[in-house]
Amino acid sequence: MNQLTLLITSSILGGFLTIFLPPLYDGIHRKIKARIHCRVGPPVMQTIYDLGKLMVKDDIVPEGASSLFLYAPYLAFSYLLLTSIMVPMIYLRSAIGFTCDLILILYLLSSSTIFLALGGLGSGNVFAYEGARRELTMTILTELAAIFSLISIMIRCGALRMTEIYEKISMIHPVPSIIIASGVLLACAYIEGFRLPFELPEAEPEISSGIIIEYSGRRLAAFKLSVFMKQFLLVALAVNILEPWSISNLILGLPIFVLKTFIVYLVFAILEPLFARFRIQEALKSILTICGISIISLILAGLGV
Amino acid sequence: MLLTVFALFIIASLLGAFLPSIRWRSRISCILSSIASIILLYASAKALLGSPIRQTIFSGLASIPLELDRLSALFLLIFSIPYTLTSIYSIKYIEDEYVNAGIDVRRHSICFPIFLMSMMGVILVRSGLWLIVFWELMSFTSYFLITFEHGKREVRDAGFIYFIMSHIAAALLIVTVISLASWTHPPSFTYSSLRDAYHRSPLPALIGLPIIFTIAMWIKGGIVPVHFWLPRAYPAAPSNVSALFAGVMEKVPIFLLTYFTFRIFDPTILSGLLTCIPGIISMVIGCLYAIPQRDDKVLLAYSTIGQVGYIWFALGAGILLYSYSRSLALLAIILISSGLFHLLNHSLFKPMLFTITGNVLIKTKSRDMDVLGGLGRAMPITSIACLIGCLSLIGLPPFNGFASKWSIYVSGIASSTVNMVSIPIYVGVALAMFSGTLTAIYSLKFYSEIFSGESRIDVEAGDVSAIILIPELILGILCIILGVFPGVAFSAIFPAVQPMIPEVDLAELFKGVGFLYSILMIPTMLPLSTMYFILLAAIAPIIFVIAYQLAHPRRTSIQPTWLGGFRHVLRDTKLVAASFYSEFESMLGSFYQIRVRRPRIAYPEPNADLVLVKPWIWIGRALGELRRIQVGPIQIYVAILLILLISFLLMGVIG
Repeated sequence: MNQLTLLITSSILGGFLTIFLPPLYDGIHRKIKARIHCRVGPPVMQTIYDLGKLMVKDDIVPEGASSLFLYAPYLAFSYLLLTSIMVPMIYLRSAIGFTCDLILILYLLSSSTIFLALGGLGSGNVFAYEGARRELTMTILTELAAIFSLISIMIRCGALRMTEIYEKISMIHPVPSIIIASGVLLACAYIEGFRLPFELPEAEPEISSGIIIEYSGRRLAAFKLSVFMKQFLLVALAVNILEPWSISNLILGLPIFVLKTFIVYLVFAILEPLFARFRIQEALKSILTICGISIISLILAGLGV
Repeated sequence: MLLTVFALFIIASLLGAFLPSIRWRSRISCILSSIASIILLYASAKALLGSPIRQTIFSGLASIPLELDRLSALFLLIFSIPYTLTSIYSIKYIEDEYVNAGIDVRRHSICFPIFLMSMMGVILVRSGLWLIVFWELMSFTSYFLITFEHGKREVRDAGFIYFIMSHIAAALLIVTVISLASWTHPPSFTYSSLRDAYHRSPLPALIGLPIIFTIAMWIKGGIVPVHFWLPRAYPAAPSNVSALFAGVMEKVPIFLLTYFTFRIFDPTILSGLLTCIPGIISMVIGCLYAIPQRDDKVLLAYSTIGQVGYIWFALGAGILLYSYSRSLALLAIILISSGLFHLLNHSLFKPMLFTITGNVLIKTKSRDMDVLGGLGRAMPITSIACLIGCLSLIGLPPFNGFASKWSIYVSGIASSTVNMVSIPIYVGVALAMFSGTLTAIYSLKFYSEIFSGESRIDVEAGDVSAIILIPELILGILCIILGVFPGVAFSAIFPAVQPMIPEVDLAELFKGVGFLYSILMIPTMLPLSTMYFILLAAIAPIIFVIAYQLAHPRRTSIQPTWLGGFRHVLRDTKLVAASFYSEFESMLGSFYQIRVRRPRIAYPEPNADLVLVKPWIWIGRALGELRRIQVGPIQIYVAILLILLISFLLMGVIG
């Protein structure tokens, strides 16, 4: 097949996967969680139905909202859509690849977090303020862990371009520092997805959905989808670093990628019912532990292990 | 043309002193300053593109040799942007904030143009003597500008500490210049003869002078062990002056350091380390201390320390690599250029943010973020400008802060696998990224605590006047332009840096070599620019959606904010800025705790950051021991003088 066609197809496919897979996984997640709670649970497609329903509902905007409240979810969504084109998921090359694209991807991901928080802050609601505040506080340390693990991967591989990194890893794997680093990335994905022990920004019973309290209709859909996509993109980065061999395979690339992410989400779904929500200090402490692990991987990478 | 600029600044100052009308005094001085700055912009752009200008003002002993080479031209080009825009901003700002309140602004209208001129002079002169003169002029005028509101005690204190610190820096600079000049044959102060003298000087001077010089630059640049004057002086000054301090005065030592390291001393591993490591430390410390601040200008002052740390780190890393091996010249030049690019960006967004605190001051007379809040509705345009400034400061992708930080990260990571000297660079890049997240944290606090949310303060609706807003918006637009087309900036910076590192061919640099090609993205910054166009393309449908929603407003209904069942929220029960990151701050408690324990010295009150100040207290105590000579009788002083004179005579005889 023509190289260019392949690139474009894989990027578009990546974008579609990023939009449609995470809600599906969320449905599975809800089902598994319900079964662990001994409930029947909603159908697997429920999250997709929810999003579709939100898309056709009317928007309600609070009086005190700033313009950031109006545009932030869309901005976050578009940044993530761009990131999804950049992250190689099912094909080794991505449409936009250049040196140090990993850092750009990380920045785009954190930009979306920042926009979501700004949207919450812009709503003028006290609960949203509290939620956004929590999200930002947690983001400091999560970002730190993600950054350290990405640097350690780059240093260990001696490559800056993502394509080169995947090629290099598939040659030298298994490497302790890279395994630790991708584990840290997965943990960051778990935290960024507002899953239970770290569900502080939304905390339904505590601050009544916090950051999304004033959102409704399309904006709520965009907001929720953005959170899903952000988590999915981090997972996609991490699983491909952990298992880089299938990505260069044209035929098996797609199914294996879906399988890999599915396994990760399965683990997430089993993990979530085990925890109660952390208080913010506890959450910060546990994220700090993850940061410590990422520093270990950084040191290991520096030593060449 | 340079003479015209100097003359215009002096005329502005004179008119500012002697015009009869108070109102026109400040107006004319600001207007003339902005005209002079525009001429400066033109002259430096012309020199950067064309040939350097060499000029000598006066002749004989008092001759001032000036040179506008590429590096000076680059710096003056960067400076003249905040010069122009801040001068325009000051026309109205000084009037609204002070003249209308019946305060005499003569101190400002005299010192402001001279302050601008002195910083320009430091960049232009090529003689050690005149360097000292302009440097002192800069210190004095900035001191008078800091103590503009000298009725307040904290302003006087800040001015006092600033005065002492800047004179320690000046003393160290004088030591460097005078000792170099003492070795010149025939006696001369020009830079070229100073350079010869340095290479003929004895070994202690070869090592010692660069260290002394670098310490002087640390002090003026607000680098961490000696930064404590900065978070006091910046908030004390009027906002337009703080904008210039952050945008320009911080950058003067960086120019001198670059120039002296490459042109007078030689780049060595030591000088690289002395630049790089304090840079890393101030990056982290500045960003960490910015987080818990309540006063918006103090927050920005700490943020300046942090951002200047980035520049010093990149510069030092470049010097380090270059002095370690000439074969790493290409990486070195990229690191230095990325640092200078960040300098350029910082000179755009930091003045903007400082002037925005000025807008807030005009409107609310408050700098306390616990009191401010929800101003976004009253001041929509200011809030947009502030958002652009904050996002640039954070370094989000379409803004300029991202482009420069990204190139520092990339070149740092690229050089971190090279060899042993790159260990500090390796550590530095990791910490730079950490500081990047911290930057995001405090700038979001800055924005949201002032502009978003429910309003905590009563202000009348309506933004500040257009003359104040337009310069800020121009700075914001420049931030976005440089973020989308970073190649423009690099194509100005490379020719300026390349003469110092002659191992790299400029054409080769522009063409790019090997894997650096894609780091540099030089030809037209192609990959990055393409990426942005695609980013725009990705945003386009979203803009369509927004436009659609705006066109059909009936699909959106406006409802009151849900307050959890309360009719209205009591202002006293709301969360305030102090609690914004309280959990994070309590986690780092042991780090911030240092601020609370104050040493037992009555005056001058030492700064909060004690770990860094402790050595100075020890030095203070040691100096306090010196007081024992002061017993009273005048005979003892005369005796000391006599002993000193005799010992000097003896030294002269022996030497």
